[in-house]
Amino acid sequence: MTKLIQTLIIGLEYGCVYSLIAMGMVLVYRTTGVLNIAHGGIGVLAGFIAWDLNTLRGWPYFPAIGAGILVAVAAGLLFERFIVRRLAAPALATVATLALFLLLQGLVFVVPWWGNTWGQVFNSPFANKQVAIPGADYSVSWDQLILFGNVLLFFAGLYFILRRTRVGLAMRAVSDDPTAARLMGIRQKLVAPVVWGLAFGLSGLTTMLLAPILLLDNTSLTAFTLKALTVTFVGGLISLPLTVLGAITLSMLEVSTQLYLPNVKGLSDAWPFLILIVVLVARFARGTKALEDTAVAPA
Amino acid sequence: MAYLGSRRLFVLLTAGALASAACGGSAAQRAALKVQSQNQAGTNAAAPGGGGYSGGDAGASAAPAEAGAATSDVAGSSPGAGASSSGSAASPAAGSNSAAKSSSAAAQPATRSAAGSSGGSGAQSSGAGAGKVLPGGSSGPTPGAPTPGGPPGAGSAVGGATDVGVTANSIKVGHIGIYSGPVGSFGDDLSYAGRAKLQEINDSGGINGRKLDVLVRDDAWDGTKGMNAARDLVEREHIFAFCCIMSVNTSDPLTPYADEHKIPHIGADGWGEPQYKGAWTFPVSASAVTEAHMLAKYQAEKQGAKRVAIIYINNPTGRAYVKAYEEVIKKFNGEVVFSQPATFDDPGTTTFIAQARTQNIDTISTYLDPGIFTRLVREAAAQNYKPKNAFSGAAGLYFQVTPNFTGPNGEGTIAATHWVTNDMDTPGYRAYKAVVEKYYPKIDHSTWTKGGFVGASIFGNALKSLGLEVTRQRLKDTVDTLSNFETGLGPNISFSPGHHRANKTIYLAQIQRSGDKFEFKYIAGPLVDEYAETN
Repeated sequence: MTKLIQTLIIGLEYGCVYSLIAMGMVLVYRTTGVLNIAHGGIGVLAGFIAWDLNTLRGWPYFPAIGAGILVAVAAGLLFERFIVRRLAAPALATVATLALFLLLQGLVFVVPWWGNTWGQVFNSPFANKQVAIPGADYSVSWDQLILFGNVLLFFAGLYFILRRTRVGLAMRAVSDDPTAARLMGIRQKLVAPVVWGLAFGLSGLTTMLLAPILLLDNTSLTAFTLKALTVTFVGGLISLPLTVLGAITLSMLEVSTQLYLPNVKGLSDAWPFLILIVVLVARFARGTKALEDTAVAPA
Repeated sequence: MAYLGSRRLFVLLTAGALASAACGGSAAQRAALKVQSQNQAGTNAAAPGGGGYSGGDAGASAAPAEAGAATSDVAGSSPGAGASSSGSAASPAAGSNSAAKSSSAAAQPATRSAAGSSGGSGAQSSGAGAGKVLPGGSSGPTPGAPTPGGPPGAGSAVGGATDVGVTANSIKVGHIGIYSGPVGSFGDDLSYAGRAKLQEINDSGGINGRKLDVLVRDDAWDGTKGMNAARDLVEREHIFAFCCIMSVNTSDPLTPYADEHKIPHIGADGWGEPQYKGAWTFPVSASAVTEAHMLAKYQAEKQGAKRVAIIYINNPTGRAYVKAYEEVIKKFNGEVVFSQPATFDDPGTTTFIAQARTQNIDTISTYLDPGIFTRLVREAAAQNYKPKNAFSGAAGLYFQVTPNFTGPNGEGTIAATHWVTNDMDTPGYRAYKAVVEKYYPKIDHSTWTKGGFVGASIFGNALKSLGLEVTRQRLKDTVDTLSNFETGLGPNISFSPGHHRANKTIYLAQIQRSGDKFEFKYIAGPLVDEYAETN
């Protein structure tokens, strides 16, 4: 029973991380057709700026992380305005996000007063506070609980925005049929910045939530991004509920393998591949027409 | 259709990224373009005009070539990057392996052509080096046809092209470092120390009139990439020898290759056991097996550890570490209760801590890099847990940066290192530090920075002792009989034919509180591994 509870808690924790990143990817993809893989890089930018303000300049914690997230949002707006908008095809913009990711990863070594080191300790005010889980011989830190709460909030918020607001409707309209959306008076040039700003802000937020748990380093999100890429496939790149479900499933499989089958070395690492293969086979079996159809399906 | 095209690209990128991660790249993890501006500034400032040293830096920060100085020549060794001819730099699998490799690959042709007195292509080596030839001797080795063993031709050329990679005024040396990949963020320091020593040799006149032309490659801590680089250095660049490679994932597979091609590999890292089986490979640092032996013995004897859990990077050296620790702890009636492999991107540390807590573990021993170890300790703190005897680990923990990251929960951690600890501040350490920091002022002094330095020192001394007749066979024979080489950093180094395990010494350092900071402090050593194999 102890092991089962541990599996559920740890699986949920990492599922939240995968979900948060994957939702950002889905958001950008379904509204612009671009696969934003710059999450790791944007997170580094936002995280180190927040750390700089808090640790080196004495800002209080929350204004510092707020400023870091705002910088990420601004980066999103600038990236959309000066890069994405000038590239003709979403595929090109996707490559541009990869370039941005690599560029920003190296940022930590460029700023002289950041110490030329790959990581920094960036604790939250809730460091060293835990909640013991009864019957699990396990404790969860406040930082982990905050992470979990943020995922729920973001999921609900994003779902609400896409389904219940005019901005969300415009996003979906542009995603479904840009030409028709234009004819209906929706200006894509106004929708796209919102999406990119939101997505980059989410990357910054994810880093802020992870840094106190792990460490603020120049690859904080990179490893998770790779797995988030996998789970976006579960949701067909458009469905938020399925994406979250895929994220939780992947992390549960990883954790249960490590806890219940510790001697089966390597299986845990194989799960993303196995899931990816199953999802791709299942989706491609339906034919490319079906793939095109799912790109315009409702949330 | 745009969506469909994008979707296909997504499939490719995802598959590529995952494949890269699985191949040990976890890729862009710590694979940043580490712009070592201060290092480069030091290098450039110190580089004399006309020096033969290829003072390259990794990646996009590729050093601008100083006037008259030899070239920067770091190239990604992965397929598609740098000199390797297979694939393109933009291949999906290489995509996440940092821009460093791509950039340096692009920079390579330009930097090569700017060579000073010695740096040039393989063809250039023989041309420029065809100097004084002994009567009856050949004019030098044929480019593209490495000459195994002794000097080429029937006679020996003294002071000229005495062997492959040697000219009248240069000796071409291959060096493979860790400039990207999962440990690239601090792996480059391991390379810089050896390179600093080689540069110092050049700055002080070189090797009997010849400058060392050091060709640097990046393996991203990936043996496949490392071997691609090695083959390129040997078969295309026609290097004379390898020097001070501090990447176990490359040094291990390079050992049989060096034997096959009879190329000296001086100053290997020695972390992996396969390196001790090579006739042409001369490791200077100790093995991970020796670390495990000494840590297990110390923790059993001094701390009373009985129940141990081990988490390790899942490579052959990591698995050897687990086996060796288990062998010794059993001699003291202890046991390894469970072990778990770790990768750079999975939640293994969380589940590992959960298990350790449940199973009442005395100590957690690790074969990890500072990044994963930090995660482990912080995970333990989040779970309000610390084993009775805290943590211990192989030399991968012994970086100055580690205690800062682990925080209070890391206090008490014991790390193995193969040389005197930094806080011992011996005269030898100060001398080493002065040389290294002259060229790379902000280096993190670890086990392998010292190992690289020692390897380069042995290499330089042995070459000097050869006089003008520099051949691979003579270098190998000379190092093979090296006796009590004074490193100044603890153990002296001796080799004999068939016995290349020169360093069986371990020092132990512990993370202790020092004011409001945490630092590694010396606690034991030198401890000589009595369980080590005798080869």
